[in-house]
Amino acid sequence: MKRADIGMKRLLYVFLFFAWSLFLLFLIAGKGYMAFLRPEFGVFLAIALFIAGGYMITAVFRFSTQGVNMSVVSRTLVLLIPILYCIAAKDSILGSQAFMQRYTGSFGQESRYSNLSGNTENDPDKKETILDIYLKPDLFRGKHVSVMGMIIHDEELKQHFDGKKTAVYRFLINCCAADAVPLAVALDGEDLENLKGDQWVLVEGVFDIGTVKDEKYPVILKPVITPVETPAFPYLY
Amino acid sequence: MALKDIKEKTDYLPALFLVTAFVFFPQGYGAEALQSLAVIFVSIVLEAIPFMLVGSLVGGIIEAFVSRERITSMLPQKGWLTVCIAACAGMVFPVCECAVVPVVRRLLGKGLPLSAAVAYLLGGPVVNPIVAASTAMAYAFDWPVVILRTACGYGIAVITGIIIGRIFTEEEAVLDTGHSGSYISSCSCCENHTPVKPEIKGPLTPVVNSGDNHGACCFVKVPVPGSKRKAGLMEKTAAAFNHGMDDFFSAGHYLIIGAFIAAVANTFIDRSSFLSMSEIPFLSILLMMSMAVLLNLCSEADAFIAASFRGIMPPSAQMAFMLTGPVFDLKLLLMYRNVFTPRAIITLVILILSAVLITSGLIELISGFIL
Repeated sequence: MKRADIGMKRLLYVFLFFAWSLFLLFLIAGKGYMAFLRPEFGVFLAIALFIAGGYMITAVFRFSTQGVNMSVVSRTLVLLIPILYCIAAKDSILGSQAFMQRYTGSFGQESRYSNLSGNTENDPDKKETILDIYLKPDLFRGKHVSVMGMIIHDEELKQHFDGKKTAVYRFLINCCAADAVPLAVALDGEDLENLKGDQWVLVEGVFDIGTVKDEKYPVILKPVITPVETPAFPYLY
Repeated sequence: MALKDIKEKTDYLPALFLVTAFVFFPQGYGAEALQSLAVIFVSIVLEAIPFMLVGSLVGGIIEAFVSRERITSMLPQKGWLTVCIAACAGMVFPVCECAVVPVVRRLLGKGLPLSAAVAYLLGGPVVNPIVAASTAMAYAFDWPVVILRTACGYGIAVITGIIIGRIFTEEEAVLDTGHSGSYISSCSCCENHTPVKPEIKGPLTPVVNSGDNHGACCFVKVPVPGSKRKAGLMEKTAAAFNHGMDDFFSAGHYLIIGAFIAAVANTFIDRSSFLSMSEIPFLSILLMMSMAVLLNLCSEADAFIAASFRGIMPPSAQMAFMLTGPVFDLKLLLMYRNVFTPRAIITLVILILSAVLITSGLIELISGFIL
């Protein structure tokens, strides 16, 4: 086995774990992981960083007589793909495409979210979120609310929202974006078609609970809509 | 280079994945589905990778610090009792499905019987306090659901473990894990090979192997058998990290590929399309089982998704989802390739799916009394 091959293999291992360590450090330090995971996962990622760092150091001092082959190279590349995808998808979030794939229209089963505190639970002065409305719809019914979210227009929403095809929505992450559940509130107002899809907005209006085919749905009446910047943490947790 | 050599040195699965990953690579803005795919893919990987790393390190620690004799002495004499204990070992050592695979691989190498290893593999990700807690939270502390999930998961693990133990010998079911008498020469690293006796040159000698396609884990400097010198804590720790690193390297790419397939399914499957078929009980069970296989959710999170189908899918179908996901999905299918022979994997999958289907069917029949 050529010495250069052996050196290359060691280099691949070191590079792989160095890349992962750097990637994890970057995600933890900038809280970038919250674009993919719940905040609590920072602890797990810190543990992962520790182990990946340990593996990197181990790889540096490793005694090996085996060289590199295509299998080792391809496996290393596979292990690096998530990092490349993360870089390429920087600032990307789940949007209306994911919403339409996941939305099932269920509302009024607030016990499902009973483990979540929502926003107003801890700080009454904070603005309510769509999650708060889902948690305690009866508390907000008939009251003036102000929620932030993205706009969606779709004909399919009419079946869930009694003919209304525009809604404001946000994703609720239980663990990671793969299990994110869309929470949507219908908008009942005029000139809603002018709003751009997936645009971040602040919606102010009176909250109400409508009924369609014996199913409840949340709605904001006569909404005043203001475009806003994408929030630092676009998901609800 | 001969064609045979190329075949031996090339993994087609990673190569195929690299091409696919390039095709689906998110480029700029506009392709929203590809952006979603990238977000979901990275999410699944980031969620699973800490557990995978911990699992690989725990496997390495077992390899370096726990001797085969000690494992054997800890096990009960009766085989079925070992299986029963192994299936609920997750209560003491809670692990998710990503972490349990490398641990089981090392435990098999240390002499844990096949049936018990399978029971731990299947029971660990379901029968554990973290999963019970997440299920309780997702179902608003509806304890019958938690108890039912834990009990069914335990039963499936025990029965599948016993049946696998009856059908296969360890040699037939498990890829070569290089059984050893101590941490020194054991090698259950990334490739199939047989470690050979080291050439003794001194108290610290690299263990040499005959594998052509083998990683470097067998080349850790450790005391050789017969040497009076005992390995110190640092050396054992270094050996643990070496073995862990190889385990991660050998199984990690399966996790990545599985996560990618899951992300594709997660991005393009319309969940509401499942709902139209929810009226037919057994069909809804099959649909939810299929969804669990395709979505590849972590066992600690899947209850939240199952709970989101309350009122839409029957309880039996939700239970089928929660029983299938932790023990069999696309990601796990690929990771099992690192431990079991293809025949054993096929048998394992058939047994798992049959057990879940029968269990969920029974729940469907008596759900009015239970849930």
